[in-house]
Amino acid sequence: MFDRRRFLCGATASAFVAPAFLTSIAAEAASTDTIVVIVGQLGGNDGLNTVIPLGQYGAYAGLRTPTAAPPDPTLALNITEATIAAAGTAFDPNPATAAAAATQYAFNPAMTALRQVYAAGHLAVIAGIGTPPAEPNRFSHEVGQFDWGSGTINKLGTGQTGWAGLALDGAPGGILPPAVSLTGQNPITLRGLVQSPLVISAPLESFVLRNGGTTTADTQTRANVFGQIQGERNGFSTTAFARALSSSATGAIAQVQGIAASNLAADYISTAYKPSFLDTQLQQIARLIVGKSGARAFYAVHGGYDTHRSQNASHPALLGQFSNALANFYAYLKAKNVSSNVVIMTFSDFGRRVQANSTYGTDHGSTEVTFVMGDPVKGGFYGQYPSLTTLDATKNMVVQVDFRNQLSDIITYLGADPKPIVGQAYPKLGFL
Amino acid sequence: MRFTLNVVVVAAALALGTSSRALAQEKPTYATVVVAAQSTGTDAGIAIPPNAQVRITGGGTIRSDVPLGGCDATVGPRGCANDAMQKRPEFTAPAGALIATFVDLRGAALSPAFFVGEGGLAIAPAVPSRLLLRVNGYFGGSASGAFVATTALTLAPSATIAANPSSITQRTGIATSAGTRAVASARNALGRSFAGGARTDSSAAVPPRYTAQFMLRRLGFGAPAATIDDVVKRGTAAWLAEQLTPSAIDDTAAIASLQPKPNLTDANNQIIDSDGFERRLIERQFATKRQVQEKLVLHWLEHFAVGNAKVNDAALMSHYEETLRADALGNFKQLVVDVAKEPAMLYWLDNDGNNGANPKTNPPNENFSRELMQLYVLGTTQLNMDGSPVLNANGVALENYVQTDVTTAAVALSGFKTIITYTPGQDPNTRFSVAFSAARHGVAAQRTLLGVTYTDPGTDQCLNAALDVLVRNPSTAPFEAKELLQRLVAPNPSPRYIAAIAAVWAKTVDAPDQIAQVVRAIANDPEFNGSYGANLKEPEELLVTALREAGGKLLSTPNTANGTTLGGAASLAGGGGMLAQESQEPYNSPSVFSFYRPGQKESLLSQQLMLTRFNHMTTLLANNPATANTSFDTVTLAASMPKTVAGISQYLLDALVDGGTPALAASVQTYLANGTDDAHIRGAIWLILSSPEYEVA
Repeated sequence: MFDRRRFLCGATASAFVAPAFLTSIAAEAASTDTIVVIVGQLGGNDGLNTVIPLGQYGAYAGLRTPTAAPPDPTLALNITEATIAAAGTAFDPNPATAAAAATQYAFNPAMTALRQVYAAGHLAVIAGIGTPPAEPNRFSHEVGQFDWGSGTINKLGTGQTGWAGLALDGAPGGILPPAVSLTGQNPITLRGLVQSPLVISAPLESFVLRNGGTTTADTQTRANVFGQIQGERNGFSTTAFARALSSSATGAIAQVQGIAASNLAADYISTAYKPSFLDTQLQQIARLIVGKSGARAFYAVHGGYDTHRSQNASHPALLGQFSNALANFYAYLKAKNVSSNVVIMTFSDFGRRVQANSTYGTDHGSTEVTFVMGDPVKGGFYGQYPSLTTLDATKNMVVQVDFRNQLSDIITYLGADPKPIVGQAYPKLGFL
Repeated sequence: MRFTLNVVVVAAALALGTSSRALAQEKPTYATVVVAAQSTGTDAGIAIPPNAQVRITGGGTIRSDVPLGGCDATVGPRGCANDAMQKRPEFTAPAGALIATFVDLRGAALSPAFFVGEGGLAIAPAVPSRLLLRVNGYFGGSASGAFVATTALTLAPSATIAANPSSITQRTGIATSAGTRAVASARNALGRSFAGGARTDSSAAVPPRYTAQFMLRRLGFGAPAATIDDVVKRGTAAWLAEQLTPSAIDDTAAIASLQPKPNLTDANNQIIDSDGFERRLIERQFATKRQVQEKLVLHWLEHFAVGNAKVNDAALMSHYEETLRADALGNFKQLVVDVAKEPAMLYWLDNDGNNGANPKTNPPNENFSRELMQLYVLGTTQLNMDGSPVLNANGVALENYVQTDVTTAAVALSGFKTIITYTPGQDPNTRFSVAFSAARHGVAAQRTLLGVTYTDPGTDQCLNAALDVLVRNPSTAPFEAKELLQRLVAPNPSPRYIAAIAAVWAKTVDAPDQIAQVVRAIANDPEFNGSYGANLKEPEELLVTALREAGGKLLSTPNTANGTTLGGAASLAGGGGMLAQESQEPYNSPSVFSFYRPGQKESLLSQQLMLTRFNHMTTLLANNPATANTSFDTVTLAASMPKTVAGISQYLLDALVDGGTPALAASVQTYLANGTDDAHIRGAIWLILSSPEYEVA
């Protein structure tokens, strides 16, 4: 059992008494072992080119063709109908609505792998989702990422906790604590009131300490004195933070390396495509899930979506990496028989403007498209694609689904009550 | 529930040489203070005699600002009707739920905040002080005032706490020997109260050597013993005055030691530089005599973060760096104007070739416009001079700008384009220029930006006109002052400090040496010295300071014999290099937000990154100075050390952590008792460099 208390205040935690309100959450959380994998598309993904609104194709093509002079057709941002038809539009796994849906929406042609997961009925697409205008800075990257992480609006600068961290406060954890980030960074998403995430950089093998001892005896002496120094106390609050982190790091090395050694996942990498950094992170998460780490929330990111300029040069490739990495991860969990209690959800800072700008890119906009994938997921199309022609005062599509609604359903899946975390109760979107 | 706190002031007026036995005979004195219910602390505090040892314990209830308890009233299916209706959980305060700090009688902080209830003895400064209390929001790895006291918090005497410090420490879990050593330390009697993290602002109470080391570490990258000797002799004021006019400092030798700028292209016109431009920046931090200027270069490189992953041209990055250096201590508006016209910035935030001539039919790219306002100049929220947000009558923070301002600024800043000529063999440093096209900007026009109407001349002076509106915005001075304080002083500078520095910023807005004047004011404030230990070292500071303070070498000559080539895992710079592994590869900020947000250096630390920082010290200490380009020359360093265990320990602790805590000294001596040969000296340096004390500055 991992010593979670070391994550609170390090050496200061001995006097900690769990707040009474947490025990009820703990009791609830302990009754389940669901796992959520959170994947951030950082930079603000262009939802319009991710799931293309065929039903509004005329408006889409018009607004996505830059009027720059001279026009460069290779830089036009609309995906052509011919390309979409070649990739296939079969979109809805529900036979009753498939025919109509096929004329309404299409995946970006680079997303073949996820389209197949969709066809198999394990992928939910949420359209028209975003941060409501009540968040005045919703087109800021910092605000968008913070809001999606905290599960709140208007709290940047004051909020200190994230929705997954709060949902797992009081959860027992296992070999590892309940929340693990694979990004090397400590995202707000995983921070609770009483627990902090374990932060690892991929691969797991890098989570070690080398003290440079010149002999076996010297190595042991250094280890002893190092442990003594890290356990000492003084009053520097900043130092106490470093000390707490160091203690939790050195305390977790054996646990992480134990899982790493037991589960190399050498068969993870698909030879069908070139692995991206997202694959590397998801591979480590797969190792931790197969290795029964006990962690309940994992965090990975995929960057590069801030496509202000020459979007075609990078965006289709990013979507291809994203699609391949997610589909491969899910297929691997299935092959290892550990997928029945795992849900993968995606988010992005915000969406992008409908109208392309003069540099063949798109600026920060409102609604995005997110995905939820896994065995427990009822695949299909959720939310509502907003009108591309009836826009709000900022020339943006009107948000149809509050981002907190998606988080609310995921928090419920983790076994916690979402209402106190995201601030209000939302009707279930229905994918879980 | 009643919140009870016990403050025991033990043994006032600890004198040099006083033993723990003498202390144990002192009778404890008690003091009382009340933190009002529904508040987050008290500024009234209690008076503390000089050099007193203060033990504070407590328990009680506090309330979280995070709603986790449902609604106060039964409401409809959509949940709480508003935020105020949501219940905030109240719970027993854990250890660390309260923090305390010593301030002088004028209110200036004398110590960083420390946790209440950790069980440690806080040693008061050598001057009369007051102890302030804050209800601490320090949970989950970040600090804020997210909690409030539910009931009045009363500090009261407790009969259960003994006067004998060693018995106190036994009960609270600190090793007796360490506690006794802490009490007995003559160093504490000098006012260097490590146990409490307090540090007096009186330079008379702190050894001048430590004051000098502190300033050179905060305003530069630390220094070797000989340099410190020189600064002590001349005084820190004289050193700072000299540093603030960097052009008067002869830096020829340092610049000559750097590896050359990229000046060759290959057959495909690619610059032959590898990661040399990153390495050159680190080499300069290590070698330059213009330390304050270089520290400000680091500040501006992170403030105006640019990533070569997108710019992809080493010569443009070098040019950008030189522009930041030229303006580093100069005038802020000039700095922003120059940055806006740099090819690296034009590429990074997509203002290159931006067309604002027909905004309705062909909207300009807004990337630079938005980040210029949000991150570079004034921030999203209107600020008072003390850095607090300006609130409307309903208590809601006011926005600095709206979408219309972003669009207007995008037009106002459009029309610039980088021209690069590609001639094989041409010096890449001279093959580019920036041109302005009126056709892509639009003719002269009246514009309204941030509520200010001005005339855009429709020429390349359009930048100056728009930026003039931005830099004179009332939020700019507190926004920039606070970010600079967060870099150079502490993540949470006091409102008084921010207001004082913002006032200097605003007053000098037209001065050619504006930033130099601001830095001088920062260093002369009592809170500067009082912030000892309050700031985490960034990765560049961590590595370069270690090399400068402990006999390190950082050579520009690549040495492939032992694998420590430029770039690569064994080198500081470059993709995959040590700084990259520590999330701070020079010039490769992952986004426009730089490597961390101002005031949140903690995000540079995670369990993984702590291990990485320790492991990198292991790697550097294993490098052979005869062959590696980055190493510690401990043999030369040892020539100036005493030869005893205590002497070596003291020498290294003095150099790296201003003497360190008595407990750290004891640990280092425990290690050195096994040997004082070169391998053990290297081991002792590693133990200090991986100690929490070294992680902070």
